[in-house]
Amino acid sequence: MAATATSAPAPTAPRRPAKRRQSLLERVARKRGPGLLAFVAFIGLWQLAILVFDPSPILFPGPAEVWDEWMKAAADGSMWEATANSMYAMSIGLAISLVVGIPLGVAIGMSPTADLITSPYLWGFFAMPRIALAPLMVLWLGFGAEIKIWLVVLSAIIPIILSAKDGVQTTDESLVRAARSFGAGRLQMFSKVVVPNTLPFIASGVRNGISRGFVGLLVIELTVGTGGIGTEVMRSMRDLDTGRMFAFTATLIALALLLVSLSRRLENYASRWREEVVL
Amino acid sequence: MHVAHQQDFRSRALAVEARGVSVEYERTRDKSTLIALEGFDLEVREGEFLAIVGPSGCGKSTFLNVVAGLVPPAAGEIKVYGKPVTGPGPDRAVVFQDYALMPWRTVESNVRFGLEMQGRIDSDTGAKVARYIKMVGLAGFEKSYPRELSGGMRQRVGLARALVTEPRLLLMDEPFAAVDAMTRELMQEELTKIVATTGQPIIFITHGVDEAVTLADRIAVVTNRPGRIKEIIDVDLPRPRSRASRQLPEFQALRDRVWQLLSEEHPERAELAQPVPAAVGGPAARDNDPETSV
Repeated sequence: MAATATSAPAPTAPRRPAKRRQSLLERVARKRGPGLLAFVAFIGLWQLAILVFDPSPILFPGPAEVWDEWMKAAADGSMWEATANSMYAMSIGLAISLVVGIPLGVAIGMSPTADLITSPYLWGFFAMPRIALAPLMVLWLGFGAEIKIWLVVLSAIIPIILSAKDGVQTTDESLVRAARSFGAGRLQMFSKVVVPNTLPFIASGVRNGISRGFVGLLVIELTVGTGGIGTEVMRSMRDLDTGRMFAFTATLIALALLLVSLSRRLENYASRWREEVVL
Repeated sequence: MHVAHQQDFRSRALAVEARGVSVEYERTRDKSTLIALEGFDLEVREGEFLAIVGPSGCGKSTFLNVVAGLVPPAAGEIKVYGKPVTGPGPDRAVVFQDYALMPWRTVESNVRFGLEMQGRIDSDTGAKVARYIKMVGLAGFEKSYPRELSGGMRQRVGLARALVTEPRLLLMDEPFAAVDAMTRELMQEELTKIVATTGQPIIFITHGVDEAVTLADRIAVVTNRPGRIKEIIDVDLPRPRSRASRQLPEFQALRDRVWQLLSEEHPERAELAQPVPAAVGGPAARDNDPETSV
C-alpha cells in the first residue's frame, strides 16, 4: 500500500482519494456489518417474542417500551446523572489504582523478598469476593461516593499490581545480560529493559482492573444504593418499573462494552511488538 | 587485515592477556562449588581472529563472559589493551548466541541500543546506524521488529549493534549456532568481509570445527571442565578462504587435528576412561552449570 502510494505517478493521484474512500467504507461495512446485523436481528427476535407470547410489560417489556423509557430518562436527566455518578467513581478509582498499583507492582517485582512477603496477601485478596467487604465499608465510609471509589480501587488495584509484578519478573535474562554488556547502569536497565518489557503486562492488568473495577462498582450500587446506574436499576426494579430497569441496564451494557473496547485497544497498542497481537 | 602468518601477530600489540584465570560457580542444589575455568592462559593480538573450541560445558563461554566483564574471575588476571577488566566497557562488544535483541525495538533502534547505553548519541548517530545496518546487509529492514526477521537476520542485527559501538575487541559467543547450515555459511563469509574492514581482533566461541578452521587465524582448544587451554593451533591457510578451501589437504589436516584434540576431551569419553562418582558427574550435577543450562 505504502509502496504503491509513493511510486504512483502524479497524473493518477487525483483518482486515489475516491478509491480510498470507497475501500474505507467497505472496510467499515465489513468490520461492523455482521455486528450491526446481529443487533438488528436481536431486536427483531425480541419484538417477535413479545408479539407471539404477549407478556405483561411488568414482567417483560418490548424494545419499544424500553426505548420510550430510555428517552424519558434521558429527557429528565436521570440517565445522565446516573451515568456521570457511576463514571466519576469509576475514573477516580481507576486513577488511584494506576498511580498506586503500577509502582507498587514494579517494586514488588524487583525485590524477591517483597514478593515473598506480599504474594499470599495479594492472591488471597484477589480470590476474595470484594462484596464481602461492603458491610464493613459502609460502616467506615457511609453511603457516599467514597465507598464506590474505594471498592473500585480494591477491585482494580490487585490485578494491576499482580501483572506489573509479573512483567518485571519475566524480563528476559539474556536481555539484561546484553544491556549489561553495553555498560547499562541500574537506572538504564530499569528504563530501557524492564519497563518496556513490562508495559504489555501492565496494559493487560489495566484491562483486567477495568472490568473487575466496573463489576465492583455495580455490586456496590446495586446492593448498597449509593446512586449511579446500578442504584437506578435496583430502584426501578423495586418500583416494578421494568421498562426503566431495562433502559438503565442497556446503558450499563453499552458502558461496559465501551470500557472493554478502550482497554483492549490500549493493550493492543502496548503489546504491538509481540507476536500474538491481531489488530 | 587478518593475515595468515602467525609471525605477524607475534610482533603486534597485545589485545587480550589472560593469566591463570579461574571461575567458580556455586551450585544452588547442594552449595558445592563448580570450577568452570582453572588456570586459563590466553593471548590475543591486534587484528587477530581467535576461535575457541571445546567440549560443551568446558567453560569457553564463561571465558568470553570474563573478557566481557560480565563474570568476575575468582583468581587470575585479565587485561584488555593493558587495562585490567573490572566490568563491561565500550572497548568491548559482545554478539550473543541467542541474539538478545529487544523485541520492542525495531532493527534501527536495536542497533542504536549499545550507543544509547554508553551515552554516545549525537547528531552523527543516525548516519552511523544506517551505515552499519547497510554493512550487515539489512538495508530496507530498519523499521522491522525482530519477530519479523529470520534467525540469520536477527544475528545480523546483533552484529551491527556490536560493531556500531566501534569496539576495539569483538566477542562472539557461538553466534551462528542457532541458524541453519546455509545461512551459517553465508554469515561466515560476510563476517570475514566485514571484519576485514573494521579490523578489530575477535574472540569467537564455537563448537563447529569447520567454522573455526574457516574463520580463525588461531584455534584454541579447551579441555573438558575445568577448562584450560589444551593446545593452540595456527591456521595458516591462505585468505580469502571459501568453500573451495575446505577441499585443500591443509584444511583437512587442520580439521582432523582439531577433531582429534576435541575427541580426546569429549566428556563421555573421559567418563568411560575414568569413572566419576555419581555425586560429582552425571546429569544431576549439571543443573546450575552456565554452559549446559543455556
